[in-house]
Amino acid sequence: MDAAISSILFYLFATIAVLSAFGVVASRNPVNSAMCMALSFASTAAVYFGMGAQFLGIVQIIVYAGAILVLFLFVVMMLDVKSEEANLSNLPRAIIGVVIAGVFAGMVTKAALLLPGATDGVCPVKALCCEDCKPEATAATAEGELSGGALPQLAEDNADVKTLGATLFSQYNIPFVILSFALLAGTVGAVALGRKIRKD
Amino acid sequence: MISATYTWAQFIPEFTLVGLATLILMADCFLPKLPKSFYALFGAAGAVAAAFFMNGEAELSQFRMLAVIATALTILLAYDYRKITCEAVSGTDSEEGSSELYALPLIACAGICALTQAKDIIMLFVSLEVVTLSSYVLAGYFRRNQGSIEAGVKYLILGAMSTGLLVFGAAWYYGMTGTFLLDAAVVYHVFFAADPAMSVGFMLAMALLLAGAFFKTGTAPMHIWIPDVYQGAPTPVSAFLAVASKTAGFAVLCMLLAPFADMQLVPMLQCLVILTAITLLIGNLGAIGQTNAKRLLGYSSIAQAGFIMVFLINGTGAEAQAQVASYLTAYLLATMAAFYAIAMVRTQRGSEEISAFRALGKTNPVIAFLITVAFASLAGVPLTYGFIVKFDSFCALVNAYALEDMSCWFTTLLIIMIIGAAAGFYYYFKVIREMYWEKPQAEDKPLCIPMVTAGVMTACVILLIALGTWPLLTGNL
Repeated sequence: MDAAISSILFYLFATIAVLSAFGVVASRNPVNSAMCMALSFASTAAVYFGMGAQFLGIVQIIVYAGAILVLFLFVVMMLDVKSEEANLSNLPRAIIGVVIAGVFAGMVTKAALLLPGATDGVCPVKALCCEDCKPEATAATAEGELSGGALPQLAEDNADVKTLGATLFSQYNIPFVILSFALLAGTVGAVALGRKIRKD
Repeated sequence: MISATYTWAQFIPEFTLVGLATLILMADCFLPKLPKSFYALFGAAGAVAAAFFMNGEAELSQFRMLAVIATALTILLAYDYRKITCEAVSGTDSEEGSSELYALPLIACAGICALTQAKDIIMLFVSLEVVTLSSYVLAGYFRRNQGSIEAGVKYLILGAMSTGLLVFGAAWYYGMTGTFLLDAAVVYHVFFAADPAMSVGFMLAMALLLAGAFFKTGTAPMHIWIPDVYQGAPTPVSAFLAVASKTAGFAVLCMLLAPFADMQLVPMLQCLVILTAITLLIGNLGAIGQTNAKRLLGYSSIAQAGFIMVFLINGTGAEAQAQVASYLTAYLLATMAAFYAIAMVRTQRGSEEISAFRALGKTNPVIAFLITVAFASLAGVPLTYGFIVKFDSFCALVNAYALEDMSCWFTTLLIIMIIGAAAGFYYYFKVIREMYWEKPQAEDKPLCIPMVTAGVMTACVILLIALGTWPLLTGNL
């Protein structure tokens, strides 16, 4: 894959993802919000593809865009949710919100720009997707086993699925099982909150 | 890549708890004739039984024990509160649809137990999600009650944001260290071996992870949800969030800060001091004007979180963890007794306002005494356990003065702690004053005390007084 194009595509899709996420919040019409969310999910999936995580990208599209969002739209259509009434704008509160968000964004950006390889054209993100990148130029470079940063290159086709499965069911098997408790709680909760009470 | 190793045997208590919850849910489905209150007694007994499977070797085993006890008490409280539950869930006297209130705390408790055994961020996040997801449902469980729905939605939105911060922090942590392991060696490596720029990113990761933990503990600036959610949520759930969920938060906090035990990281200490000071001010000053007893306990929960944070400013090693656990024990005993009292008053007088406690000293002198001890312990009156732990908290700050270049910061914090403790005497005593100084109104009948409430409150108060006087008698404070 050409390094320059992969970078351009990354920034393109990342921008779309962020802008459409903003649209979800800003839009007053719930259907528009849902559509923006679909766009955001799809561009996030594109970013995953660009990083070589095809499986994650496919899952993102199937599960989020395919299942969750369609369900969401169904509910919006069936309940006939009216578009949100324009609330009285609260300027001081809006200013505080913008300042906090701005400071947070600035803090994260600054920390990201300080990272080795962030400003000399060796984008840490590129290190994940291009094959000729050197591990030395990536986000985290250090000796020994504690070194992190670039994920190991995935050699074969479909290797990410294999790696994912092998990791989930060996190294992270117990956390994976504990996570199923969360699913149990979620299912029980959905039934408990959505159930119709018989009156007899 | 190094990763943490776990054994299945470690998690037997967790599986027992979830098994119990599943049993309750199955029984609810297949044995509709069985009275639902049976599940409550079964669940509470089972939770206590699960505690016996626990080995005390884990570092945070005290937290785990506290969480299990808090869960058992929550379920027992739900048992005494079932009249209100039935009204708020089905709108009739039928008990239908109330069994999840007994099963979900067990699942949440399994999450907290798994949390205390976490060695890496993966396990920490996964088990924290178990707690959070169950709590969302529990907070909004009273579907016919506007306040409960509001509490559920608020908790869901703010909780999702804090989870987002935690996950973002986890991503940064992995990016900077290459491992999810929470270990002193990792921290040393980042600060002393790796590129200095990495330590900036690492501090960002820690800040985000701590923000996630602060949401659960109720430390400023992540405290916003507490008063509204405590007030709106069903009373047993408020008790669970106040005690068990806070225990989980402090377990996370101890775990995240433990790798820093041997290094005095001044910027991080400064942040902790500022946040603790703000927490103490908001909690204690906010509580003064409250008229609703549950909301008062919400602000009290913020204030107490501030006092607990002081232990972690002094140090984050095993000693500080034990101190945090003992403060949480005192908090558990007193807060649980207070919530039992609120539930009882709500069931029989139909109100959660502080004024509903009026003249209990004349109509029910014994229960009024029990409530007095519980609130006095929260305020830190001598001869209760609350005094001993609050005293410990002040001692911890004085010990922290060993770090000389921050003595100015510590002095400011000390003054704020004194203001907070003094304000505490005012607002906790509002309830006590209401019980003894107000005249009973014509329609006030003596409360009839449910068995479980009487038993639990008596046990809590005996423990509070015994633990509060024993160190004075033996002389080792």
